[in-house]
Amino acid sequence: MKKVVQLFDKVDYVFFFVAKIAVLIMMFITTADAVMRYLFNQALVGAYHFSEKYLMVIIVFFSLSYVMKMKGHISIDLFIKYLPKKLVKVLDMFYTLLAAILMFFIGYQAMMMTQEAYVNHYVATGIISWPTWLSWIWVPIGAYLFTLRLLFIFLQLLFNFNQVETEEDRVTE
Amino acid sequence: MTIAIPMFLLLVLLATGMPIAFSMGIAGAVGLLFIGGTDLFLGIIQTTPYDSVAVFLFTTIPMFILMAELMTASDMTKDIFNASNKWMGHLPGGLGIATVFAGAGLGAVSGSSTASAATLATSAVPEMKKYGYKSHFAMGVSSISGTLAIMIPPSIVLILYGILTDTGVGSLLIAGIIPGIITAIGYVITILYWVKRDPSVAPKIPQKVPLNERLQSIKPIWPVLILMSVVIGGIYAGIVTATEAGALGAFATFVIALLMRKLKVKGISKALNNTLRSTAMIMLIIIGAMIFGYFLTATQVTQKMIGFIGDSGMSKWVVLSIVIILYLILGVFMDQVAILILTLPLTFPLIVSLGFNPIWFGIIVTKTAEIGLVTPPVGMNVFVASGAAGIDTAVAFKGVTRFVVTDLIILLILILFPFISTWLPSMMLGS
Amino acid sequence: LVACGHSEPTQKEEASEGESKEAASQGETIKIKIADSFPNSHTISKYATLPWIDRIEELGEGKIEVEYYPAEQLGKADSLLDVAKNKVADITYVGPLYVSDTMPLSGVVGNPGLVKDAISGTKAYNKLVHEDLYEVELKPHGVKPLWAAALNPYQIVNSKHPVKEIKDFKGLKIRTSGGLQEQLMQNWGVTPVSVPAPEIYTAWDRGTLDGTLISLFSWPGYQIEKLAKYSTVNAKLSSFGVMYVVNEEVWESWPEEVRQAVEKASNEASDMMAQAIVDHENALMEEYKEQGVEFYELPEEELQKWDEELEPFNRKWAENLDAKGMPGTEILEKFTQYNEEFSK
Ligand code: NA
Ligand code: NA
Repeated sequence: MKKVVQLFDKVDYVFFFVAKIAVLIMMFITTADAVMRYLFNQALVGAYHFSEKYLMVIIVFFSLSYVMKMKGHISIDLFIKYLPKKLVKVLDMFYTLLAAILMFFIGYQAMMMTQEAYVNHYVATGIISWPTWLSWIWVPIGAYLFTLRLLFIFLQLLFNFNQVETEEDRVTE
Repeated sequence: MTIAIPMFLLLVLLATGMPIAFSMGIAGAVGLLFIGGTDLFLGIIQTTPYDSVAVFLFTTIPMFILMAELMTASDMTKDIFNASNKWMGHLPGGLGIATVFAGAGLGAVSGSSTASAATLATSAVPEMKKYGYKSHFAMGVSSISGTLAIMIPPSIVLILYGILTDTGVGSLLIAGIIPGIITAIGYVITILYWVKRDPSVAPKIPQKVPLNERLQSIKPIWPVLILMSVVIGGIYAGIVTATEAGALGAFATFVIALLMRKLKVKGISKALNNTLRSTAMIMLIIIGAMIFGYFLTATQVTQKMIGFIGDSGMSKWVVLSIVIILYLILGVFMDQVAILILTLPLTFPLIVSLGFNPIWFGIIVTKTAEIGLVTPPVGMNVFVASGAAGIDTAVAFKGVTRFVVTDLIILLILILFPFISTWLPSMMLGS
Repeated sequence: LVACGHSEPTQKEEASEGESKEAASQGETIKIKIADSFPNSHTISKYATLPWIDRIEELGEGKIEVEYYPAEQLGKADSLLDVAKNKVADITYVGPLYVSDTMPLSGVVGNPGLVKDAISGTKAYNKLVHEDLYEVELKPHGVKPLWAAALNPYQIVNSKHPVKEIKDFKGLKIRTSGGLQEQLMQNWGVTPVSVPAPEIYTAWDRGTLDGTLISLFSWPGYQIEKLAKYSTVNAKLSSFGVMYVVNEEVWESWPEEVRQAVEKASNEASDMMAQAIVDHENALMEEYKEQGVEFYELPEEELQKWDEELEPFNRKWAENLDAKGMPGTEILEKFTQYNEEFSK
């Protein structure tokens, strides 16, 4: 189990790394577009569309799962202090599973959209022809990755249910 | 009934520790299944996640956060605090006042209040503790000074408001300048008053820093001044649109930091990690809020409520008061981004139809968002500052109480004198 | 409970059609959910959608109750086709230019040089949608058109100099919304700039833009009159299409009299909208003239020159679609022909 999770973390980091690169690319092309327009009266064709429909989607969906590992999806910890520890653990498990189910449906529905766009060759035309499926595909990939992450967290919580909580395991943020 | 159950579910999920984004997504999904079956549920979740993300205006979120993170990674933010410290440290509560100034300075280059609060907490709190300041004072000042970042331009909240209401983003950003300065002054007065009433929270630091050393401290902040002019000047000179300003600001920070040899690969990598962490967190909350929002509109309860208020013949000031109180109450227990998405499509047309100025209303909403950022149980700035400083949230919540009172007074002033918000944009942009 | 539908009576019908038709004829009301992206104050909803909804309810004689979701309350403009397809709402607005990837043929309304004005353009587009586009492009998505309209074509509006010939475009920074517009402007020497709509005013005011392609009707939303100095009145740069569609399965589930009421109201809606747009724009133009905006006509021979320049763009557009196995040329020819017929 531990090895599987470690392997998954590595794979997940590859996607996260792609998102990091996407952030840098967005910074460069948006700046280049503005500066070229201002100085040379020449826009960087497609920068806007590429940032909006491709980079944004990659940045968000390729980082959702890894940010969960970083415990970055915040929750309210003010009240759970007053709840019995066992109950909090049970709720945690249950909630993680619920979230996994929701993410799975999101991934599945987005996969259907991607497939429809791919099969029918949907293209947004302009000076550049932008394939729609290449804008969508990051959603199912990211959502499925996130689903897996949540399932692993669920299983870890399940197997470690009777262990004494260590500082590392704390799920609160 | 159909609306009560998911609403109640949302509150339970939030209170029992489910991440905010999932609480809203799950409660919304249950609500959609409840009122419209699987068709409605599957239909909404098919397009909502993508549609909420693939929005050009939202590129400002990662870009402005990246700019703030790059500044932190290259120690520029620390330099701001150091300089304010050298100049104001000897005053009563001086380190606190220095933190407010640093918060305003950071606010002028960063659009993210949480990034700002985290920076202040890491640099200012240890310094204050070193001189014997009380923890709740230090945490309160850091958390509240972070909120200046969403009033002083650039501001993610004002940009989001512009997106959701089709109000010009440029005018909104400029409108935040004077209210932001007034807010900072209000915080300084609060500190002075607090320290006068209870000197033990902030012991006096006897030695005054010599003038020479003070002047020296200004030197390292020139990059920050350049970045301020790049962002605001870039918009004003027409080089960039308000949306693109974040990317230009991040790029300028990147270049300056590299030239000064203050940024290494490791620093860049960490800045990118933090950028994605905040971006993914905010965007997932936006997706959850959109799902819950579609549930709310599908029940038509909110539309009917707003319609009822609109048709009731109440005076416009009564309606405005109801709306503002609603924002303050929501701000107590919900995330600011989620509140804007859920409410603005309904409150904005109502407020504008009553003849109120849309830019002014944007500033009022932002002020309530500032307050919401530091009130328990969901006080993002307090969460982040506590996390960064390693101090319990309860201590920080205690420390912000007085500042919340100040904020409420400033809110009242902004409501009563709309020209504070509208004068500058009308001067600069003629709108 | 989970099985219970998006709007109760309609769902029951899906469960058992016959039963519900009986129920309806016994005097039960049918709830129809209509969703679009226009805020209530928007000209399209004021002059077309809201009167149309009133008319549906009026013709329904108490048997139809419309629930209206304006302002993207059930989905973004780009996704409203999916909203109808997925039965999130029964009837939705579809902006062909927002779904140019899924419904490229319907986007012909946005091609330059075809629509001359809202009245003839609407008649032409409404006909094209019902007679030609329905089979090839709406039916596959499970939706059926109710009515369609075309707005007055976009004009070139700027604050630098009057654009009277094609060479006057050179060097201007013009906001476009992608697609053919962007290609055309680039070709005529313009620097096409992409700016989100809420930022048009500031970007123009600060000189990031010199102007925009826009129809008069959208001026108030962006305070264009405060910045614009020159505007053409008769250029045929591109038109904006409006379409309201209904989910086919939902449509089939409605009793005959409900369908008739919706159809009748819809047939009236498109002409009503075109006339209202033309009147409204004329009033706006008078108002803006007084505020000092210069409106000017392009002479007939110049317009012909523009048309000649535009022709290859349209041809290329059609050929691209032909190559993908879609009747691009056929649709282009029909739409050109309908426009000519109705503008005589
Ligand atoms: Na700011
Ligand atoms: Na709060």
